[in-house]
Amino acid sequence: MEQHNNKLRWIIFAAIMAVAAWKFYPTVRMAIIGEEGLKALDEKAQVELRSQAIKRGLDLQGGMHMVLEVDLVELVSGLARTPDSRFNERMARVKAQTEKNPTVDFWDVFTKEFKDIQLSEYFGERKQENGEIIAVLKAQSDDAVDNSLTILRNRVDGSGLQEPSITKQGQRRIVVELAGVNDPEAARRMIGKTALLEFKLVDEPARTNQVLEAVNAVVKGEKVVLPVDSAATDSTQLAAAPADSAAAKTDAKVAAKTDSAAFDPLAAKTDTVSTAAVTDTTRKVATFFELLTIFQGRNALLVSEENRPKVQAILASQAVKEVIPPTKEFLLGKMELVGEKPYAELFLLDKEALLTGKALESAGVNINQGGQGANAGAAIVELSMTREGARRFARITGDNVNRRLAIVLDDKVFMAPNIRSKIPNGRAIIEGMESIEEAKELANLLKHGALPSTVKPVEERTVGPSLGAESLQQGAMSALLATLFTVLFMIIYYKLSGVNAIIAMVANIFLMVSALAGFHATLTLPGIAGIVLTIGMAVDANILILERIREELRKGRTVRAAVDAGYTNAMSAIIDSNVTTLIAGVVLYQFGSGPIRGFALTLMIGLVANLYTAIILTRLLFDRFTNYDRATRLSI
Amino acid sequence: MLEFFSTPNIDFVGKRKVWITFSLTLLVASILLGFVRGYNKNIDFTGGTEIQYRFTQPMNEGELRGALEGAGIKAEVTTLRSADAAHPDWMLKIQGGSQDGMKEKVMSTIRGAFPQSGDSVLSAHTIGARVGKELKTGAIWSTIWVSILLIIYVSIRFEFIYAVGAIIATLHDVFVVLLFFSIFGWEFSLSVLAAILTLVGYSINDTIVVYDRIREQVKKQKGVPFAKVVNDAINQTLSRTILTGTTTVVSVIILIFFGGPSLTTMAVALLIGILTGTYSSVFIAAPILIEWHDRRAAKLALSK
Repeated sequence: MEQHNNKLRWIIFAAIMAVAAWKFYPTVRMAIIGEEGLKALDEKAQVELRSQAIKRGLDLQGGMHMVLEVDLVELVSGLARTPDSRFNERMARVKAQTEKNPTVDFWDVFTKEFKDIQLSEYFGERKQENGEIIAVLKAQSDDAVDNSLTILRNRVDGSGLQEPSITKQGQRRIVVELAGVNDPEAARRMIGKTALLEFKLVDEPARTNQVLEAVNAVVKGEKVVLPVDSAATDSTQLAAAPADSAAAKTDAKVAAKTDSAAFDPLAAKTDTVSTAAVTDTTRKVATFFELLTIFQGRNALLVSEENRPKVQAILASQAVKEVIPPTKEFLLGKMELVGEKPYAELFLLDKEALLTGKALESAGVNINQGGQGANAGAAIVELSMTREGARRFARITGDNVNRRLAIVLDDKVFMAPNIRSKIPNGRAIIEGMESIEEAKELANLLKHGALPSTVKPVEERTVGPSLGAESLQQGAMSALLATLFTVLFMIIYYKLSGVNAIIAMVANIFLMVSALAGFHATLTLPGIAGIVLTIGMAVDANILILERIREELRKGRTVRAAVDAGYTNAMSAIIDSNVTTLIAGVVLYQFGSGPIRGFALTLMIGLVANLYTAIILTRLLFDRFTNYDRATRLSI
Repeated sequence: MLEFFSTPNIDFVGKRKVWITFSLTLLVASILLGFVRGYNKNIDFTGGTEIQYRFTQPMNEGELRGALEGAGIKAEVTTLRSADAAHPDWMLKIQGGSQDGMKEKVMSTIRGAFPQSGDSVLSAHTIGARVGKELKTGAIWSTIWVSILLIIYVSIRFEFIYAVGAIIATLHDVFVVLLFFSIFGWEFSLSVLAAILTLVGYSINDTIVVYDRIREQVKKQKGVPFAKVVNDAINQTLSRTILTGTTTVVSVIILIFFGGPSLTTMAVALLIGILTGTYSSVFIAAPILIEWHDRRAAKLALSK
């Protein structure tokens, strides 16, 4: 082999290893500094490090994996206009059949059961064909999944959960993965509760300011002690301490812990945190106003991400609650980028909802045809009310022109459009959407908000953190032992040539874990099994090559000729055998879910890395260290 | 040079009819037993609830089961190896029936019946029946897909009959693993399924190495009886077959003993599969080629 080419190969090898090391470094760093060190870093660095290090699967770090599925029986029943006893009876039969035989398609059963009934009695327009109605219902079930996704993301956002992952799987399922959840029951309640969509009137800015002044006065004038678990439901712990000294009155008044985890509804039990409340980690806030940012353009009050927990805690404290009028409540909006930082808008709303999602009949996305300037061509949401809803909507909009009407989802303001004029016929449009996607999301939400919870958990896996740590340790131990055995075996059997194979194997393992980090893949327990198996198989290519070289040497060839022939002859076997295994890996990846995918992925990465290290790297090592041009003996 | 075999010359193919018959018998037995006896499928496939418990106090299997039965819960109670040598961990399995609120019911029953036990839930899984059924269909489909893709690849790189031989050898391995799971009633989980699908890859890999040598020898040894060519190829690759088999088998054995209880059955499935995979490459995949070759030769002779 020409020396010139080898130089290039060495450079490529060095480059590959450098990239691998760069990708692997965050994982090493995270392992070294540990959870404690991680918490000491600032938020941005934390998020960055976490996202770059190899993600441990829920089975290795503890957490919760939930698969939710749209309950079609409930969904379709909920969509029916006037479900009578005949309808309910048929639906019960559909339900019984789909439960008995889980593989049958709901729509097939539904079509069969209702074939002698005019579905237009319950859905769609008069005299509409059953087939058409079913097509519409199917589309609505797809929307329901997307909508549930919106609702879940809305709920999980700001709940303090670390890296929640909520994704759609197929047509009817949603996968929720929550890592490091301490209290799975609380998480389950949060995920499983029925969504509530309400319309509430936003208070006039002047009134809002008055209430804010009052709140500010309380914060300034009273010593409001905020225990760490202020988000807990037990509000007796949030009692305001009496202002006992003059100094306390003029000085900082609110002690709020800076650690945002304190407001995590899923935080650990109270007994461990109540002591923390009196420690020095609390930060003092002089006024309530300093936590708010005024956004002039929209005349809106904004709360930044880091202030949000403090604001929530202050608003939840008993002393502050007393100055908020009993018919009003403060709610926060979605986190949105304003300039460079994410902010949530703070609203003062009427506690009583003017309408609920039930008042809505339909909602859809359209493009603004009229309108001028910036509004033309923008996405809008069109909605229409039920007859009863339209009547109430006309009165509400008539009484409150130029006020804002908040669309509240699960006690979070989703959006608060301005009422421009009285809307008499129950047909309204909402403008100001940034994109078609945003409009779709809102339309979907409005359309399905009225329905009872239509997603139900079909699968739930929770793994405690201790079991996760044990599994990781056992897996790592196995990988280490397998490596050790293979190293010894290869050295004893092949002597120095075995060392080549070992270097290749170690490089292979290194490339594998780096690739896991680089692709942001998740390392699962079966994934570790995949690594261990790959360690065993990684030497296969080298064994093939070394056996061939031995054969050639036995025939009396020179070292150089034997090595050349060994590599050439082994090549087809190595490529064919690896490609076939790779095919199996790809199918496994396609078919598998969750942990299986992790296994398939490590296996595939291992195979590809193996092809490189076994064929190219070992050859380089042979060329470099055996100096076989002149060698008459090979240590093999 | 440390060697297991320098230039072995063992007759592998002479008794091929015996091996093929033996293996086909295993295959048929496995399929039949699969129908008759079935598998001890875990909740991944049947739906159900599985809760892994750890107690700080010694617990008794009968009492645990009794307490659950008292609450109307029919649970299978088993122990697992634990990191804490003093007490084993416990696995409670409830299969079939409605799983709504089952986990909470079990937890409150245990807490109520053994208030002093220091119970903690290590993991809890609940899976609906529908998910399980889909998994089964998915597994069957993926096996079919792997087979199709491999037949295409091997047909292109070798010949169609090689593809047939490789698939038969591979299916044989899969069914032998299934046979063990059926006979011994080992728990069949999602991980075991993954292991079996991986074996498809491993088994093919092993077969291909032998086939590669046959392909090469056919070109080199013109005029030599095909059976001898095949037998030579097997002998030439024998040391590699055994060496790779050894490193892989040892790795998997390490996994069985050190990988923790969650991986044990998966690793056992891999172990059986690797052993049969090695066997089938030599004793089934290669002889099938000879049988087919002989038949084709006989046909050709007849038609002349």
